[in-house]
Amino acid sequence: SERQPSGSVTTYGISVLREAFKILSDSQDSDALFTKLDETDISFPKQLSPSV
Amino acid sequence: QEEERQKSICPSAAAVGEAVKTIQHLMEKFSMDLLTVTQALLKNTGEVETTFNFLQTGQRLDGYPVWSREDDLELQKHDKNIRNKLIAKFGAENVAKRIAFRKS
Repeated sequence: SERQPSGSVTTYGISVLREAFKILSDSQDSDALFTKLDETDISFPKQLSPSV
Repeated sequence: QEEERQKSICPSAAAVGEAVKTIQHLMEKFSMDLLTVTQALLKNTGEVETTFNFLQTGQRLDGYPVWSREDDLELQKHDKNIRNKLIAKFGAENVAKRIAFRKS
């Protein structure tokens, strides 16, 4: 794939993220789930336990 | 008007495909689920490098906080004092990026 010039950043718009999420999600209502993620605050990310 | 609205928010398949790959990469890299990675991208204004650093260290590269729901709601108020408060909290560039992100 193409390399970006030094100093540039890759940014996705919210509609792109919504569509990508809908592709990856198994949820019946992935659209509503995405909206919920947008409307709730994030806590510090936790790693998944290997036993899960 | 509805057609124009749909057109303006309809992302390209190529961009969505790239985003899918990026999300999968972040999930694998940090052993995190889809919800966590997607929310991290949302709260970091869709910036991949910033989100990567946030997932790795719990902090943004520029030292500013991630966006909360309350911050997003205040961003919509178009009040000069509130806007200045957000600029003091996130920096002018990040506020401008957030406005563009919310409309994207």
